[in-house]
Amino acid sequence: MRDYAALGLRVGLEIHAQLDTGKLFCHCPSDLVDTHDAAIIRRLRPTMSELGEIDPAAREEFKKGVMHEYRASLGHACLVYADEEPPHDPNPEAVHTLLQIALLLDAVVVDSIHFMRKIVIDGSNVSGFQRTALVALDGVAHSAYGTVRIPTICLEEDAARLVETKGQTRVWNIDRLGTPLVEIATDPSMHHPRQARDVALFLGQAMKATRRLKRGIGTIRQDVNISIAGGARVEVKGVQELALIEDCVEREVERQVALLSLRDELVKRGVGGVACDIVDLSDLFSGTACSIIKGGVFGMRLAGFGGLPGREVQPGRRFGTELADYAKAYVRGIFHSDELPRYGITQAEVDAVRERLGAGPSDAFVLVAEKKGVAKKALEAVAYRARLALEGVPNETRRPLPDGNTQFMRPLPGKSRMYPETDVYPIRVTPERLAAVRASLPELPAETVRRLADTYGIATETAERIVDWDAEELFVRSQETYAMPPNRVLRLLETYAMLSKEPGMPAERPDEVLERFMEGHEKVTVEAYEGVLRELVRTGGSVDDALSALGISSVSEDDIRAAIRGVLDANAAVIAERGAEAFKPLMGPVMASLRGKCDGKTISALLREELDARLS
Amino acid sequence: MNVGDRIRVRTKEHAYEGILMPSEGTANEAYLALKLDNGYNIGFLRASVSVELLEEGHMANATMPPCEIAPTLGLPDIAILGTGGTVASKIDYLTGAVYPSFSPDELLRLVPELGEIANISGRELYSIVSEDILQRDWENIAQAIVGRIAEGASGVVITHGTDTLHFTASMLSFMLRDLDRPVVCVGAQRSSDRPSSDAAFNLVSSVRFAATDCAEVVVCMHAGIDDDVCHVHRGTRVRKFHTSRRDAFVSVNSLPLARVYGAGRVEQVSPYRTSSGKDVYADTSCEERVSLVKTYPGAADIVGALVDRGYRGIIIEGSGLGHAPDTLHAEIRRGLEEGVFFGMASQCVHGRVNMNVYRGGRVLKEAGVLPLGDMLAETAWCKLSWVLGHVQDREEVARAMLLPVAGEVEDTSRLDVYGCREACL
Ligand SMILES: [Zn+2]
Repeated sequence: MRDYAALGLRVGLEIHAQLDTGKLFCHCPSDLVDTHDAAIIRRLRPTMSELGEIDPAAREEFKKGVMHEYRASLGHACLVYADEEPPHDPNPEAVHTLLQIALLLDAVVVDSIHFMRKIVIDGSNVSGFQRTALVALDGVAHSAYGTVRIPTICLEEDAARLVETKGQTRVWNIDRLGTPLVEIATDPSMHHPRQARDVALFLGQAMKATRRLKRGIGTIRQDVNISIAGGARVEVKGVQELALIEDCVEREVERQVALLSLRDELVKRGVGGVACDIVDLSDLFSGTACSIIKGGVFGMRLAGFGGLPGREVQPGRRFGTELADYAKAYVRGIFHSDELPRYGITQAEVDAVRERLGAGPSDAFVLVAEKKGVAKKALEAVAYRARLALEGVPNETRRPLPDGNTQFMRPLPGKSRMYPETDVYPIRVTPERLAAVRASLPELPAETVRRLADTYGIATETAERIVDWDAEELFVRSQETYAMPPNRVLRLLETYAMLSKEPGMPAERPDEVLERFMEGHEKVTVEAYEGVLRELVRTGGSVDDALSALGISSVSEDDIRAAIRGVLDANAAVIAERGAEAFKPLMGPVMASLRGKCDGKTISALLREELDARLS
Repeated sequence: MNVGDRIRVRTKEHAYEGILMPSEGTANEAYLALKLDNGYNIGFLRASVSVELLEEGHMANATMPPCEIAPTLGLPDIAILGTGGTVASKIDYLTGAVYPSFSPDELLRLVPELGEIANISGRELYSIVSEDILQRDWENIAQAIVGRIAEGASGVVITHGTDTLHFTASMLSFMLRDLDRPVVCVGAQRSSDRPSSDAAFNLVSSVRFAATDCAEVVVCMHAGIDDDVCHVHRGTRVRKFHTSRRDAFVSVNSLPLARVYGAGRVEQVSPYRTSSGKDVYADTSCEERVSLVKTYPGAADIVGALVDRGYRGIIIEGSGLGHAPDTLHAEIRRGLEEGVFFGMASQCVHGRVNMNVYRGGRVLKEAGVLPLGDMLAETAWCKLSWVLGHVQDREEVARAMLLPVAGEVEDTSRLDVYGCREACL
């Protein structure tokens, strides 16, 4: 167990959740659609800053002639998000939801909400900017590890989805563009990995309490800022599962500790810089058995780095991987000295490389198998990363990997340019309006759990699972309208959760289908839940339809038992005579009495039970 | 306290520092807007906070380092004249306010490609919202164009707000006599501070067209909502058809003159006039008491009031083939008796008026209302104002109105022209 306090761990969260209210500045739905009826071709031009400066990266892209193709589906997009019409008034339901969230988090709601334009020119916003507004300040989140301040709660627009990149053209689907996003940022005061998870859970629950959150994969995204004393701020972007937050923090701490010790090692070795002398090594590999090498090979010595590329920085990830991640902007991978000989590269080749590069035992080297120009850029990137190692931890944006490790995405971006969105009139939040929101605040999930447990006499754990599934309304109906035993409701929800992972299942839970199941729940045996539910979701019919389609009984278990008992009563003599052996001759009459309304397997199981009961 | 000052705003429980912003919207002294250090603006109800000045602001107009421009031999000299609108503008990122920017270096900084197409000289004539443009502004613009041509510009580009861009193009078409090179009117439907603005592409395309041998006043704007083709429309034949789309401008009863492609190619679509070898001059005398009246069912009093106020000419934008409701006939007759000139265009926009088909049309025509063929109502209004500036006799005015001066009226209605954009081509 690490002593996180001693390490000076500081964690901050930024949580984004999509609202299910339709788009923020027009009246289109915000569902995702993979078909499209229209494609719009646009170029985005870098704009000047106040000082007449143009972002060099943006200018470079424009000069290269980067184009954007925006795909839209009629009925899901209008002129607003094609940037052909000014924004409509902000979606009132989205604004209302933000006010609710702000009050649930004890934040100070501003008197007048101003939308801003945040310049984004990667093409993910058709207009070239994202609209965003600060709705509330100074909220609080609670956790067992202490209270965390929430400096800002914002309402913003989600971006378009990148479909593919075709040469110089980026293809986007604008179905997601303009979906309202809640953005909650905490201060970076969290000091334990579990605190980060608890706070994320708390914030997630406060947002869910509004019942206006979209459900499904990718609808909530967490950015986690992590640093330790002497380290640097690293942002892990787009963590989608709560459980992963804790792992990411732990692994990032591990990485920063490892990088700091690596720096200390370099200092101890007296390494003061990294020269980027690129040497053509192609001739050394003219007869190589390495299948990856198909021509040029270029290399570079990392003086004083001997043994360091192989050093582990996270479980299964080495410093060499960190070097490779920077090179990946240009090449698929690199070779470093600590992993060779391997991949068909022989010891003799390694020796020849060392000799040519003048790399002694205390030095490392890196190879890139590519054309000269590309190899040069890749090796320069490696040298750049190696130089950063002399300082310790670079400021980076990293993407989470499934095991909690993280991978370099890009350097941490600078502050984005923001200026007023003059097309949207500020929203006034009068004291009266705020009081009205406060008077009808939704209950927090913990309160819902308590209410469900008390009202319906179910275990707290059961109630928690129902709330986790966001199925509180469904559960209440199952009790009030359909009198379904709570454990059966739970079974139904579990079954759905399992089925939802099958291909072809809807992205969002079809509550009306689950309700139809509840309507006929008495006719479905527990064993048949999966089959019946799958059939209902696929065909949209009734429970009876599903049962007959599946060839399963549409009679209840009680009815079957009653029928069996009738047959047993009528055949008391046979039972008396043959005992357990009576099963076979009785099966026929029972089947006949149920006239095929039930499958033989169920009947035979129940007949066996009933017969045993009589014999005992 | 002034906009730009650094202030501290105290609420009951908190204090926030930032920069005082201009009052939001129009009249809302009740709220103050603050730009926080994180870049966000937020608003406070003045009555519920106390404000303290921390530091006086310096709303320094950020000066940009100069941008070296030397004329390139062999490139055409194109003059750009600014009259307002957001084609060439820069934004005050603090307030969101948009300002025109017309010095050649600002233009080149905004749209560096211009330097590869032409030697640009820029000048701001006005900075007005285009709905506020007046007769005398057109006179000034016409004079300025003649001046720039005299100085050697091989083409002139007028940047303009889009609301009345077609009025200006039409009026200049009449005022600039013996025009011997292109005058291109251009606007933007999305202001140039946003990366997705149509301004730069429209401007680049305009400068390209300004270097052709066309000798007409034209409008150059996006052909569709893609950033790939601009259409060049004859100044008297174009109209704004959409409040917000970037392809809002469409030629009416005629084809566009040309297309300008993103890669730079200029493709002529229909014939245009070229120089007659004479020198251009501005003939700007106009009658300001000319009105444009749209009829509607039961319309009354809208003509009589103008007649009473001494208007000299009225274009009626009538229904269908050129009709006005009975309720207006007496007023029109009275106007005609008092010597007011009446011309008839159609609110159908597309097509030609014909006042022979129905009795209502015949009655008005016999009374003296002049059917204006396939002329756009807006163009008819410009032309009548200009014609009345030169002749007053009814017969002479009528003859001048129907005599084509700048392609504004034709005898033939093309089979292939109706509706919008490519559909008709
Ligand atoms: Zn829409």
